[in-house]
Amino acid sequence: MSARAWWAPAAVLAAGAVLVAAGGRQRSLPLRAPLAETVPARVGPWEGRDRTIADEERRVAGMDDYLMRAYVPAGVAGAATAFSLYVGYYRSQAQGRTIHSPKNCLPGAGWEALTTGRMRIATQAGTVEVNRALLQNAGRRALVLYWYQGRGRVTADEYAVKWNLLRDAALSRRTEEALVRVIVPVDGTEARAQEVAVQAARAAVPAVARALPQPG
Amino acid sequence: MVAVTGLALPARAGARARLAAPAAAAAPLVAAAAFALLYWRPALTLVRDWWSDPNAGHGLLLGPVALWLAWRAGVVPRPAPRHRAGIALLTLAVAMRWLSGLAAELFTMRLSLLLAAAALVVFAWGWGQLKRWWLPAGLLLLCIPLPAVVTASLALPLQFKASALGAAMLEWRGIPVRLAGNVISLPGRSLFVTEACSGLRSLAALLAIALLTGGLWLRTAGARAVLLAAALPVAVVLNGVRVFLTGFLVVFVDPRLGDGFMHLTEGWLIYLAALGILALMASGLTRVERRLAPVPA
Repeated sequence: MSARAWWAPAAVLAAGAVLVAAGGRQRSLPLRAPLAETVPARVGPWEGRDRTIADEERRVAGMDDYLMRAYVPAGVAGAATAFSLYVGYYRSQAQGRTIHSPKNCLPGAGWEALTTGRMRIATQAGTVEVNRALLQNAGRRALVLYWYQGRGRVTADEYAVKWNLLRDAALSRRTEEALVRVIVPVDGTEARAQEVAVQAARAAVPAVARALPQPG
Repeated sequence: MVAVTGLALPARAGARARLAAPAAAAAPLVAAAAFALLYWRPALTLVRDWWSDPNAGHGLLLGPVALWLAWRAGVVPRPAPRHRAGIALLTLAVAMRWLSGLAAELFTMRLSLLLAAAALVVFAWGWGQLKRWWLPAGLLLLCIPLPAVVTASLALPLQFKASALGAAMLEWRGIPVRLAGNVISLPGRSLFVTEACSGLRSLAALLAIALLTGGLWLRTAGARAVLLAAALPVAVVLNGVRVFLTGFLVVFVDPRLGDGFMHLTEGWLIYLAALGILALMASGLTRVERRLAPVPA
């Protein structure tokens, strides 16, 4: 075979390298407003206390902005956390800097799933589907709701998240997205914990949407 | 190569060949450089994962084995280059590389690396060469770790299976157990069957070993398929046995045996047992093969 024939694969590969280099630059979109301002400090009978995430953890997770808030019964001194809300925002996602699914992170932190599934929640911003997991860690149980929010969508399915990311990256070079996670310690019944979690999610979905960049 | 051709040709043609040679040789070089430029990132992250991800460590061993097998198998005696098919496949691979780069999705990016390599093989030597390299190609495929989203959703059902099997075996040995999800309550203690015990960690490695053993040892596609298919039940049942053993040791010997060094050693022993079972199956299958289709003397 003539060595000259290799110009064809060389051209295809070189075109690919150029395409990849050009496609790698995604738009980086900051939040419209700080999450701490749009997410209400008071949800039902609970009052939020902002927490900080250690620099090391922040670096590993790679988010650009975040809100970590523990909600406790208002006016009750020393009360236990009713639920915690975490919102991690990524201005753009690229290889090595994408949202980590709680499916991968929580087991690493010692949490093991007892059950996993989906549930639908009616919010001001429409009905959304979220992931629901009952976790256990050293005898303690927690109910977790989490979903992906950004570019005008609330998505639970992680395959759909990847697909949308791919499409939006190719068509509009937008890959910004937030992971929203509600954790409710199960002190009483699972049903009671779910009531709290749903109330938190109802407050979070429209509040996070107000902070995110305009869709479309 | 050029010098030899030049000697064999008349003087004038030889001079022309010498002039054209550097330009022609540039093409494969440019192709190689573009390939490296396009794929160094996915290749680097793959090796990094082999090094640091406990679920993918077998790649460090099997990757080089695959390359050695490819070298050993060598090139087909009568290559039949398929330029159009090769370029079509390569275009597909490059499109996949571009899209997976946009979505920051490592699995398809690494798959695209293998697809591009296969495309170049078809381009240079034809389909026969790809067929000749099926074993190293299959091994390399199994060395690409599945996406975390997939493994996370596979691990839970496998975990439940191991818990249920382990609990059933403990019950059968007369130990009172209560199973709730992945928690096994034993007298005086409860065991938590973690994700690491799901057997998923050893499954990819077991599949690769089954493929390697079948490819080198067995002769027929049917027997190879049987061996490969056996890897999953072997992994699941042995993890059940592991849960049972842990429960048994915790109840009758020492509650501390449920974690730490002993537990880790136990995991290794179970893995060795799985390899042993696969080897036994392979030797049984060779006997079946010999009976069905005797090797011509």
